[in-house]
Amino acid sequence: MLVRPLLLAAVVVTQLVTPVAAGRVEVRVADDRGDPLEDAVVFLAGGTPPPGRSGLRAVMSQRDREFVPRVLPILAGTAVSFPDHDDVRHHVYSFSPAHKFELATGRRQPDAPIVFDTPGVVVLGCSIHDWMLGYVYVLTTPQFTKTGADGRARIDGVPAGPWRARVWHPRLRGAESATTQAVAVPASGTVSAVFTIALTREWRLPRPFIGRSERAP
Amino acid sequence: MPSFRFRSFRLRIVVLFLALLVLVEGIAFLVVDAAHRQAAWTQIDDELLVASRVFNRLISARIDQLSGAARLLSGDFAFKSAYAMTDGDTVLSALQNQQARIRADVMVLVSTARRVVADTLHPRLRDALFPFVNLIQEAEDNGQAISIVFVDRRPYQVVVVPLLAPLPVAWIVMGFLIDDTLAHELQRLTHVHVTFVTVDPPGAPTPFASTLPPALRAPLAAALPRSLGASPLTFPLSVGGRELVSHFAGLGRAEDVGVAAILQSPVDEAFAPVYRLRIRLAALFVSSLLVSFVVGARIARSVSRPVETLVQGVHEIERGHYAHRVVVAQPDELGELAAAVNHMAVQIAEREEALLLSEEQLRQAQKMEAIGRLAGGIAHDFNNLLTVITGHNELLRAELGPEAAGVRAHVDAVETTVDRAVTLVRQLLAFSRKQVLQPRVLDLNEIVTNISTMLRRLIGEDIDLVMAVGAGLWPVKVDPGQFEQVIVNLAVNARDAMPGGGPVAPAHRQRGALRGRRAPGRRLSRARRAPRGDRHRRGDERGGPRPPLRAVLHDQGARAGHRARAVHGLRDPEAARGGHRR
Repeated sequence: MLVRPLLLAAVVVTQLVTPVAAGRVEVRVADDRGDPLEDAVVFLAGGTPPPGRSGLRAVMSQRDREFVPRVLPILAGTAVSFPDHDDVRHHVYSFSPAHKFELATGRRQPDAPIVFDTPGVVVLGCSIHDWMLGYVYVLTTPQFTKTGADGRARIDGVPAGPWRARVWHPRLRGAESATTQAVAVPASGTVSAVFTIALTREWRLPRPFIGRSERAP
Repeated sequence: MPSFRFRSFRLRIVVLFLALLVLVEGIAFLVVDAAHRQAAWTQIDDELLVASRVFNRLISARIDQLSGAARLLSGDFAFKSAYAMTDGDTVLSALQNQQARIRADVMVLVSTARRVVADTLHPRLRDALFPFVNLIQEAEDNGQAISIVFVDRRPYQVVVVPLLAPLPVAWIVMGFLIDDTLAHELQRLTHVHVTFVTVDPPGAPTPFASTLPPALRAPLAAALPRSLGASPLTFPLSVGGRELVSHFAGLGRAEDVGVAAILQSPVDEAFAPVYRLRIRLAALFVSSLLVSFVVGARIARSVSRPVETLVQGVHEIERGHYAHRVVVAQPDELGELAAAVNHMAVQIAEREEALLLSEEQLRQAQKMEAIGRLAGGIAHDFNNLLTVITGHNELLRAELGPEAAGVRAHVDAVETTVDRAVTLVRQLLAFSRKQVLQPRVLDLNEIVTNISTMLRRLIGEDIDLVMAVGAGLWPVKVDPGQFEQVIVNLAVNARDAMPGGGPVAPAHRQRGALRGRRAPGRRLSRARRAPRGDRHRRGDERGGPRPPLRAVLHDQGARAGHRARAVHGLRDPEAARGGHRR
């Protein structure tokens, strides 16, 4: 699988940071075999969403017949655009209860972005390419982040106090609430948390072989 | 029980020939038959092995086909869309549509919460808990599940795959019915009988689908071993009178019930070619026996005919038909034998002819000898007459005066003639005598005494032998054997002359002194002729003729045969004395 740097996968959050003491939460997520887990969404439950979120934007690209990024955590109300960077068309759909939609085949860019209001998992698929699998994770708390390839993530500017940190992952086995960890965020400085989660099987279908000419960007 | 014997040489050859053939063909038949039966068994085993492989392959191909179809459906966007966007009825009709497309027998859509969304077998069933939760669990764990389930007591081979959108949003359960149709379809490809059974450990295996005729299913259920897993994979089974070699192939489990397939190959079908071959072999056997009989009879005839000809020829020779010829024109031993027989016949004929000739010659010789002896006998007597004539002629000459010169001439002529006659008689005697006697000087008493024992035995009990030994006898020069024979002949003649019995008394005595120059060696003939010499007498006191001894010695040749002849030779002066003249 071709993983590109997250140059275009931007999370643009306009934070209205209150001038209170803020600390940092550093997490490390590993699977049950101890391997670092990428694309795990780590968030602090119970955060207060900031008012006036109309300007929130996010991008879920289709590049080289994959969703980029694979996992996109957003604050509820964020408008997500789905730009197609391939030379073929995609038919992006979601039958997830959180948000069912279809972006019909043959659409031309730019498309109107889709606003995700309901929290929860929105599983993205492409009816043309069965192996394409993407997730939009809609949150109600602004304190969230996503682990990198090393399984680490960091949340800055967390108001000091007791928080409940949680992890969601596409292959998380069991309920998300079961991952809850209490973290005491200091007024300044860092608090660390380590999550080890059990995974379900990978449902992503194998990607068929594609010739070089087709793979050219 | 009459014993059957092969009297005829020909029949013996044919029977031997056929017996050998029967032996060889019988052994060949047994060997070939055993090999074919072995081959038939091997064929059954191989057939079942291949059939079981084909069967397993077919089943897995069918499962692959099923799961392929299910996967196609799981990726079908319209179906996903129908499931996600519409109601249960629409989903049901979409399922039915898919089922018809892939010719499955059942399709069920189960939610991730294990609830039935739609079921083509039970269209009204909605939202009920799916009964085979383990299958869903297995599919969740492994991506798909394959099993056999009983729905409404009917077995289905099912595949469970997720409906991916693109993560599993529901479970698609697809299945085909395991029934007689499937069994027959599998039979067409495997060429063995296929029976599906439930293997319920506490109970007997129960067939639920089979290619066997319905009448055989109950016997099959009864014949099946209680625990199929424990029995060997391939085992013979007698079902309703038919022998079926059976092969056990496990299929899987439906919840608590095991399901298996039993592949069966009828022994009689595998053995049909063997039986056909047996009939052909038997036909070949009989026909070759017939051909061999004919050929053997001909060969036997070719062998026995010359033998018969030979036998016949030998019989002809036996009957004295020496002119018969055995005709066996063969360059072999029989031909040689025929030639030998013919040669033998010729030789026998020649020898017989020679024998006849020599017999004739012998007879002639005997005749001549008899004539000679007769002549000899006559000559002797004639000689005596001549002696008398000579004597009287001498007397006549002496009485003639000188004046009777004419008469003297006649007397001389008589003397001359008598001399010539004597010469002639001597020639006759020389002709008739061949035996040379060897006289010795003997005591007659001793000889007579010596043979008295033998004489008694010879003359029998009716005749008394009275021995009278003369005293003061001179020794006699005579051939002892001849003298003994004389006495024997005299005794036997005496016996023959006295059929009523009586006494015989051989006796001898000396009468006066001998004349002549050689006193002891005088000739018997002279003794006989001269009454003064030794004389043997027979004492026949009663009955029978009493001819003179001379008659006995000389004239009874016809009656006394060789005995008389022996006496005749005994007194022959010339032979005994080697031509001594008086």
